[in-house]
Amino acid sequence: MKDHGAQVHQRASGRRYALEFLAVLIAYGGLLALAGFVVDANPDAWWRYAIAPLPMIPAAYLVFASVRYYRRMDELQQRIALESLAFAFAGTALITFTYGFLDAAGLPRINWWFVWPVMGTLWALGTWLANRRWL
Amino acid sequence: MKNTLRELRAERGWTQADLSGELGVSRQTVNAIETGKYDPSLPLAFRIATLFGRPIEAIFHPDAS
Repeated sequence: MKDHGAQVHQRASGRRYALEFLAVLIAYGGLLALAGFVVDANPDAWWRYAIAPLPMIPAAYLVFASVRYYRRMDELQQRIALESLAFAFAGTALITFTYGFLDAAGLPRINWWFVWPVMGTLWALGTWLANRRWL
Repeated sequence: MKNTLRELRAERGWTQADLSGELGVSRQTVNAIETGKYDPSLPLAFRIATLFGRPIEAIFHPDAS
C-alpha cells in the first residue's frame, strides 16, 4: 500500500507536459529569430508570407500535447479543466465581440495578438474559480 | 452524497496519498470525495467499493433531504 503509482504517474505527466512545452518554446524562439531575420532582409519577396508564420509549426505540437495532457488527468481534474476552459471560451467570445462592436463604433483597432492573452487570463481565472468550487 | 471513505481509509491506516495511489487518481480528488465536494463516477465508485470489499451503498449514501 505504499505504492503511490497515481501520484508518480501524474507528476510524470505534468513533468512531461512541461518538458514538451519547453522544447516547443526553444524551437519557437529559434524560428522566430530566423523568420524575423529572413523577412526583414527580403521585405518584398513573395514568399515572405510562407516564412513569417514558421514559429507556429512547433507551437502546433502543443495542440496534441495539451489534448494528451487532458486525457491523462483523473475525472475531477478533467472536470475542473473543462469548466475553466468553458469559462475562458465564452468569456473570450464576449470580450472580443464586445470590442469588435466598439471598434466598429470608432475605437482604435487592436492587434490579433491580444486574443490569446485575454483567453489565457480568463483560463487562469476560471481555473481558480473551479478549484474553489471542487477542491 | 455522503460517504464513509475517510473512516474506511483510517481503519486501514492509509494516507490520502496511499488511497489515491490505489485508485489511480490524484490526492486532491480523494480529498474532494471525502469532504463530499465531489461525487465520483460510477466506475470510480466501483473501484472504491472493490478496494474496500463492500457494496457501493455501504460506502455512499444519498443526502437526507
